[in-house]
Amino acid sequence: MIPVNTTTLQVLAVWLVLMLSTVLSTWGFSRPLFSPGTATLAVMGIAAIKLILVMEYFMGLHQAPRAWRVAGALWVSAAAGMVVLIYLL
Amino acid sequence: MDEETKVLYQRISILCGPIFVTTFVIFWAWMGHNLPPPHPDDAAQLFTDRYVNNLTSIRIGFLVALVTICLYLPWVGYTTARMMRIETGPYPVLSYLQLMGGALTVMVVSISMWCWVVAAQRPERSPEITQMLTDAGWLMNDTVYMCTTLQMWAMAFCVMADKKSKVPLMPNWACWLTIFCGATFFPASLTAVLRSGPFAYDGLIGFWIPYPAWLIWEFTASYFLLTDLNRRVREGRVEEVVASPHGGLLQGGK
Amino acid sequence: MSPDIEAPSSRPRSPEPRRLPGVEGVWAFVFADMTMFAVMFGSFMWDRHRNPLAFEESRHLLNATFGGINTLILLTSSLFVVLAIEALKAERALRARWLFALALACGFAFMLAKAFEYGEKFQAGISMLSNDFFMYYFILTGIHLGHVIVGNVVLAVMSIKSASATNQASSLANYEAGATYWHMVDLLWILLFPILYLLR
Repeated sequence: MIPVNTTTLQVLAVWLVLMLSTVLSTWGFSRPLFSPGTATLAVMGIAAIKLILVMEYFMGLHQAPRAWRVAGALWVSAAAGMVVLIYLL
Repeated sequence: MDEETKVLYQRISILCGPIFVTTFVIFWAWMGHNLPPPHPDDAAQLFTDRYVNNLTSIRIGFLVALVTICLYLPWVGYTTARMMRIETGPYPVLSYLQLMGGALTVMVVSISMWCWVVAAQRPERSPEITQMLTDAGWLMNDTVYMCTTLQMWAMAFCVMADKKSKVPLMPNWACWLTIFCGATFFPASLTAVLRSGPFAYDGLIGFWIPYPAWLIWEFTASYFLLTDLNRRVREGRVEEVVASPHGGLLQGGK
Repeated sequence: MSPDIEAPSSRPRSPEPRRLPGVEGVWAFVFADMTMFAVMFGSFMWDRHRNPLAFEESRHLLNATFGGINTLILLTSSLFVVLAIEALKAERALRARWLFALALACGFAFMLAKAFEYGEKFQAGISMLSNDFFMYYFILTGIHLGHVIVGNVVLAVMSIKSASATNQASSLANYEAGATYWHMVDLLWILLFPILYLLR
């Protein structure tokens, strides 16, 4: 009944990855099992991947001209990179 | 009034925008010692010292800036008239909103400087009062911004809805940046509550983003208004509604 | 160029011309807004760096479960919006309308969860003035909440309007622009959440 095409499947797969990684960040790495440094770097790494996934597949940058994709990637690396850098200071 | 004179006044009105920005930076920011702004959490005596040590510069700065702030008015006048050409008909509500917002902006910024002029008039008065006048001036600007925000939004929405012009008054991105610049004023309300950190009236979000955003917008919008005027003159469309048969005469204005 | 071509069965590597979804100006707005947030994140990190112990102590008073659930809510909401745009491209206006409505429901759920979370803090006597950490916490989440409220209005308008939506490129671009904004709200939370709740 519902027309399922590859785009829909791709978006659903991305959504599933985003949901699972959120669960992992929120309730996984917060356990005392992980050292603060490890947990923080893992959580920020996951966040950066999530940002790229949302930009590329939800906002549709994967079909946009290269300049816009580069701008998106630059923002993600600048924002997440700055956070990690100041954290490591 | 002949067409050439009309165009001359239109051009002067637009140029008042960038001239206002320039004088604002020189007299309000630099001579008025607002770069950086005073720190709101300082002791009262430091506010008095600030005036006493830079008295002449601060007096000249704000007195001149109080005059040149009114250059905003002709600019708003031209912008209103230009918007009415887009928003034709008897209900140019966005044009009126822009007009009122712009006019009130001049009053808000003027009242703010007036507080500082009062503080500088008798700097030997009790430091607490000088401190209060300084605070009052800043909070006038930082909490009474909505007139300006509405002015900017009205202009952006009007230009974006333009179906008449072959080349829009401002490109789409400039309209959206106008909306963004207007929105950067909102966090400035926090200056009424927080006296240190990024949200205070000398902070990153309280000062260093919204004030430049306003001036950069004014500058950018002036650029596009001027380009648009030149285009109209070049194409002999001085009157948008009734095409002028004397378009050729206006080439002198370039 | 017309968007309805790609709807039925999209070939992943088709030589379709590259196209920025939505309205270019909205993208300019989105990047300006995201930069403003990045500046505030940097400011938070800098102040945290100068006083790590106090920030860490206050962070323990936050409930990461609220933040995590709100992330899941926004991600799901974004998914609904993506599917709604696809429905519009496939000329299934009614389907699009319901998907936008579901996205809006998620937006409301986010606000509700935030209200509970703020309420919990106020009950515990914590406010914006408690300390620097909570100043950032309330202001950053507050400004983000403002974006959510604007986004809910956008979603409501898109849901109402989509019943009469046409498949014309210009009309579709407006919906895509609304979607771009809503995804940005999601995007900002994805970064805001770990910075405030999870960094330790």
